[in-house]
Amino acid sequence: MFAALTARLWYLQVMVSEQAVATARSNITRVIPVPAPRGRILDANGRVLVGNRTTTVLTMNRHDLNEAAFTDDKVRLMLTEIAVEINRSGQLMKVADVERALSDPSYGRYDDVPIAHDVGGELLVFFGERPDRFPGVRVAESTVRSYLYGDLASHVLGWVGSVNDFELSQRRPPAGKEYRLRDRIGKAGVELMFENDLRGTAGRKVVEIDRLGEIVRERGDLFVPPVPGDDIVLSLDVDVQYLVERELERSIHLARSREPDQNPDDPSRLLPAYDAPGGAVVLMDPMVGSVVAMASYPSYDPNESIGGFSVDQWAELNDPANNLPMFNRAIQGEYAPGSTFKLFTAHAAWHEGVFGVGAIPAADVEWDDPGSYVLRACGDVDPTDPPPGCRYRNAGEKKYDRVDLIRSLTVSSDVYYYRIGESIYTNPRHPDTAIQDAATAYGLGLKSGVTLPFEQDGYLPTPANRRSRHEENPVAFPEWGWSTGDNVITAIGQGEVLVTPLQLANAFATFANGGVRFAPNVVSRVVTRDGTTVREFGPRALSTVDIRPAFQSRVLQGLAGVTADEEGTAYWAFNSEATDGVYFPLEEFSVAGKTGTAEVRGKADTSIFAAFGPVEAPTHTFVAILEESGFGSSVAAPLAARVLEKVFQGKVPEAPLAAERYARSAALPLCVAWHQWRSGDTLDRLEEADPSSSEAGGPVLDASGQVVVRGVQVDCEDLIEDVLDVFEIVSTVEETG
Amino acid sequence: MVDFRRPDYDTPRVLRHVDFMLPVLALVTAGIGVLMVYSATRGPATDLRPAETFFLGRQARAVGVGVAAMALAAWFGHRRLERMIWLVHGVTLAALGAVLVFGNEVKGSRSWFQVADSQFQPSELGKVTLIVVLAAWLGRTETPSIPRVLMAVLLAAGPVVLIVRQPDLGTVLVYVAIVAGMVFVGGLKGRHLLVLGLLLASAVVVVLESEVLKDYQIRRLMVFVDEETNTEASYNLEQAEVAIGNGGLTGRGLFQGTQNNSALVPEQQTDFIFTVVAEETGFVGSAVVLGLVGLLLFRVWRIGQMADDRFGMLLSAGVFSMLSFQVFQSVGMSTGIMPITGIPFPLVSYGGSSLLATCLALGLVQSVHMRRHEALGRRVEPPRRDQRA
Repeated sequence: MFAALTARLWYLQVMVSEQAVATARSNITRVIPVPAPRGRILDANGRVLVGNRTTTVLTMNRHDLNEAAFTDDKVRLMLTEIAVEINRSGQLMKVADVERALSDPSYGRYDDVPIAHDVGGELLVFFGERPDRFPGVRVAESTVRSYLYGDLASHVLGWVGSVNDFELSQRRPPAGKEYRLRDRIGKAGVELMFENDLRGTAGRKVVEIDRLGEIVRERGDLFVPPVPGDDIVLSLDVDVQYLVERELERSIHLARSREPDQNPDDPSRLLPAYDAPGGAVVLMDPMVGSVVAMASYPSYDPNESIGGFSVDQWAELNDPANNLPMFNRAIQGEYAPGSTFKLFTAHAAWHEGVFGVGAIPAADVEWDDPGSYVLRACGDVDPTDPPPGCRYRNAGEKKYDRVDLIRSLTVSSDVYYYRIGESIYTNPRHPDTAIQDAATAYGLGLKSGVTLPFEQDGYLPTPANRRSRHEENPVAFPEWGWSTGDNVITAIGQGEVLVTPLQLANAFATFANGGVRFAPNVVSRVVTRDGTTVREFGPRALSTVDIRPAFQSRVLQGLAGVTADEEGTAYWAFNSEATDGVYFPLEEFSVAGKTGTAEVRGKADTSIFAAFGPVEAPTHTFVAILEESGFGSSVAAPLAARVLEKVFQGKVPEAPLAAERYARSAALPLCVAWHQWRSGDTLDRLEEADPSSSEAGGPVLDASGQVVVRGVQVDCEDLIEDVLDVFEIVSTVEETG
Repeated sequence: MVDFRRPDYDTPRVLRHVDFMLPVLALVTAGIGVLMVYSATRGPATDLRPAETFFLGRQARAVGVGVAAMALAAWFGHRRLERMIWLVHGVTLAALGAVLVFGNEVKGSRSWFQVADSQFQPSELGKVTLIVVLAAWLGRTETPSIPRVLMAVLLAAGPVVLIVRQPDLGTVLVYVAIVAGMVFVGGLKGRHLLVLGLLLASAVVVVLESEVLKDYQIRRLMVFVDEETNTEASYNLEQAEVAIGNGGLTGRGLFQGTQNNSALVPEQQTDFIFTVVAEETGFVGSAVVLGLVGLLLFRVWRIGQMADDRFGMLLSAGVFSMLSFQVFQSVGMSTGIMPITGIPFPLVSYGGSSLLATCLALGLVQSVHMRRHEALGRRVEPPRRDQRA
């Protein structure tokens, strides 16, 4: 009997023990992943644009709620109470929002479903004390992404969201960074492109549990600490970015404030209104191809993505009626470049030997632009009433005397380029697509290769690709032939030519730096949390463009004239404040620029300005494109002048954090009241807005004009000054307009 | 020089024949039991919570009571009990009957009374009284006749039926083991064995066919036959085997058994206490514990051989049958060579009633040893053993 027992014990404990030891180990230990903090995103000067912060989250558990077996009325009452408490703690939330969050199908039966983020810490106590009234409601801390500058550079930065089924099954994250359900990953911008760098390597914690799954103790010896994700250093300068965004927004509002013009052909009707739905600005360093600022208006606040965009928010952000705030116009918007394209037409004409051949005079020969052009192909027709499609006009049929290549750029003579366009297509000595080829060499119609997702490539129409496009889809593209007229309007960047703001900026940068086409960089380095560089993104030269010095000097002279010559199209933007522009120190920093005014059928013109400077040694290339805003000279050029003035002189103000901006907007009513009280001109209004009154916990104003909002101090004097600045500009526009 | 073999007339005669091996082995085993019960029930000590000592205290107290009971039984003597077996049997039946009516029901079984802060399980003490009754009944004649043997079976049937009604299959099996062992030792002939075997076989069929057994009990037995039968029931066995295997040759160390600490083996402080021993002390420790119990059993067997009358001999044989069956069944089910039925490991498993019963039984065996020369004066005929010798 004992022999049997001993033998059995020997078998179990010595012979097959290993197996049991392994089973025993897995039996009692559970591996709990410890999420790693996501890497930060810094600007070129090391300021943190995107970090992580802890937030208080209110979650609900559907299983616990079901277990409580509340009646429908009771559940409704409970949800209402929850919404009330969330509102009281400072987050606006409707009962319907709570219900929608609770029914999110991506969560399982036993999961804690997040209902509201950033709720007050007092809710922890409130719901913690009332588990019977609020079954399954929990309030806990969690780490979320923090976009410290709010909506600043949001299109570059992107946002994070829960990994979806497609990403879960398709992406191949590097070892140790595998996705788990509901992990938050980058969805756009740098957050998406550098996901693998930003994502940390999760650690793990091993705990021993008992039969009921309760944690008995933690195995400190098996703890693997999480490794934070790497930081991304952008080439962006946050101050310049803020300046650019503010000026872009201001220009948009200025454009919208203007009344539509009369139709010159039919004085009883108005031209389309200046709706100015959006615009984009790109500021680059042409010598290395890095992006210093990239703005797209309208924008959005990626902080809203922290709890996941709600259905409403998402619809709002992607509604065309709201002008698509999530759309990065700088790389996704495709616009006709208008007259800014003349640089590339001129390049083609010079380098293909068009000047001085056939009907085209030499580049330095001056001739008079009569304001309109009749195609030579139409033969000898009446210039005042030619057959349709034969006559092409300057804007406003303006005449220019004694135009040569230089002056054609300065005054932006269309006729000059119409002739070149026709000649290149009709003269058999020139390749038919010389203009498009030159533009392609500068990178137009090609993806620039910027490290941002969803870039568009624009479009350069040629006889060949128009035909192939028609063959692929005859319904959408009924046109299949190519005529001289097509070549003529292509020469001035109209017709079907489409470029993105970044492409145009990069093309001008290519000219500015003497012919090296770089792939634009928005990220300069990937560094570990302790500052060691993991990867560095230097200049990425893609190709070179042969620019002859004689051509270059003439173009530089012509483009510099745009801002400096009294006849230059951007002269008033750079030499007056009455036109929204500035008195630009052109003697010190000469700017080569080109305005563009692209016609869009049925809409107001697209206002475009492309520039670089200083001319002698360019440090910045600037492109602004504003939809339905009017002439390039009246909107985009002043915007460029205002931005470049500060950038070149090193007077870029410091960008405020989102918290400061919030404080300023919250302080504004108080500051206005304080300003009126101090200036004493409207004593009657003072009684309505008593500066001493303030709701509990709200902004507090003291007599010296200091307002404190959520711990951020705002000086009313500065704030009022800034506000009045804007008012002054608007009022001068109204006067002059 | 003192001759220890020479009767010392200054001390009472019985005290001169105290067997020290018996209480020492019992106490050491019970001590290990207390430690193991503590290990199985202490729970892991955390910052928030000290180790649980509730079970430790109660088991230690039970050992104290057990030692006293052992001394009391040894002092009271088995012979005095022999004269009152009908009373003893009556009280046992009454207690077993009462527990069916007044007992507390736990997990579908009604097997114990609540007495103050302790639970009292009559079926445990019933084992000892049955041994006494059967020893007296079978010891009255030199070679029991068939009617006498059948009467013995009938005597045992009373408590067994009552326990089946509780129901407590494990304890019933112990009773069956006791009866079988005692009848076998009490002078069984080949044909008797045949009759008993048939009786047993028909009893098994009746038990399995009738509704006496609960579903879970049948399932457990099925698991023993085929491990795939039922995952829930095979869980017990699986976890027990993992725990034992996890101990390895030298064990995980006291209080370090991970299966034990995580309370993965069910009933690990009572029926499955051996898994704790095996996991924490390994093969070596398990062998030592089995060795201690083996020595104890050997001692009981030896005392039975040395007994001066059939009553004492049968008494020892009964205790031997009881203890050896419990040890074999308890260790056997933990290691997977016996079906799972809840039987405590003698002296080691947590449980006051079981410990008390075992101690009383050992006390009576001690009494047999102490008083093995009394019969010389009391009875004319010499013991059988001496005849042979």
